[in-house]
Amino acid sequence: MTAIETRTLLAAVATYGLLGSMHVLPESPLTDAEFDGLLRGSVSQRLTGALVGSIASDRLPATEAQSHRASEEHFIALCHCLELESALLDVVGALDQEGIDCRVLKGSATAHLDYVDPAQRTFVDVDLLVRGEDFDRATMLMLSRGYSRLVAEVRPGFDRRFGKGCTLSSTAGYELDLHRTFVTGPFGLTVRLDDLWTDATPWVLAGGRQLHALGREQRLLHACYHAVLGDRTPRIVPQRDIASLILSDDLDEVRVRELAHGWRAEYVVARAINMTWNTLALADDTALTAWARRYQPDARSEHAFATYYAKHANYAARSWASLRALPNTRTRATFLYSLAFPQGGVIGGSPIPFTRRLIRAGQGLRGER
Amino acid sequence: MNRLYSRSPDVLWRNIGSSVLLRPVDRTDLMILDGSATLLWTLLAHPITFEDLVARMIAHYGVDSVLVSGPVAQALSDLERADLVKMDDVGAGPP
Repeated sequence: MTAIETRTLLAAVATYGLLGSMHVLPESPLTDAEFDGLLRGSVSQRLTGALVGSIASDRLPATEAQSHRASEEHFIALCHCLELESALLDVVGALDQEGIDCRVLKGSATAHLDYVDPAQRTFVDVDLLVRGEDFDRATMLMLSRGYSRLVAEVRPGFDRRFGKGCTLSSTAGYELDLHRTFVTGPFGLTVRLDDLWTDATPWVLAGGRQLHALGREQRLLHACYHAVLGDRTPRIVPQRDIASLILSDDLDEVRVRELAHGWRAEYVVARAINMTWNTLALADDTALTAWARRYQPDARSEHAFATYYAKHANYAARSWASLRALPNTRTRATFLYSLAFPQGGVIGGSPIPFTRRLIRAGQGLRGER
Repeated sequence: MNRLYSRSPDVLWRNIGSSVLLRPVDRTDLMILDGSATLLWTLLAHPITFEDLVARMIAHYGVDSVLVSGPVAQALSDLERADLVKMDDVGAGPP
């Protein structure tokens, strides 16, 4: 089975629990070699829940040995999820004690709020959103609790003004991502951060502690950012999240479009929805999916997107494009100064002076137009 | 006075096939329930008396109460020791 065939099969497996997919699964068990590829893909794509569910419901025929192997991998993934949820409660409790408000992003929130069975949605880290003004305090609090920062801040105050956030590593070995916004670069800087805090979806995980996720519409937009800008080869799981949210009864599609427009993220949202409907071969249309199909991107959005994954895309190119998303000259100057004269370490992992890389990035982008 | 049993709120858990994987919040050990204990966990989603638990198990498995009462009592005791179940004594209330 080729990599493309494995990915198509993974996408078909991922539709477990969704109505209206036109994907067709094999009618007889895969060979062990083919199943190896599917299982590896399910683990790396965090789709073991859908794989086990597909086998258990006879959507996907499997030998007893294959079924057992899938269950073992899913068991390992779920053990890790429970460990992460225990850590999540601990971290949220600590932030709460310091009066720092937070929103749980992706992972546990998505599993409990957007899937019928939370066991179907596994995850590998803890993601929290905190306000920009609380960001430094939240980071310091976590450092005082034994977490270590994987990459130093560019300059003091950079994260809370311009950054996506930071990744912290626990002594137990798991990662805690503290977010200020969803992504780096131009699409991260145009997110209206206040909109992330206007709505919240509460839920109780355990221990009587009420946690808060983003509102449903903001969760959809976040899933779109994750699907389109998270990885060069788009992951299937955020697309499955998108499908769950759009096909639920409670989504306010008008609000989604208003938010996307206000964040200059219509390109990201339309692209993510079209990609999801294509990947998962979904037949059912909604007003939002119809809008996404009709959407015509403008040059500015395409240019911004190119800084993430086009041929010339790199950190400097994205930073260059970010300048256009910043509101005024003073802010742009501060942003540029921070990147040109970092205090925390090398930016983007390259020893080339950043100013030279900025010039190169600008040349590269002009060449792409 | 009625004694009501229910799941401890301090437990993180997931269904996994016909089993349930559990982890009390303040502990690092994981536990697995399977077989009839999985049904017991399902029934404990809402406060329930011992008698009702036994009745529901009998209805599900279609066996004699003598065969069910002892194992259910033992299972509840085990779950309580593992901090997975809580008990509340509820008075009959004013007449």
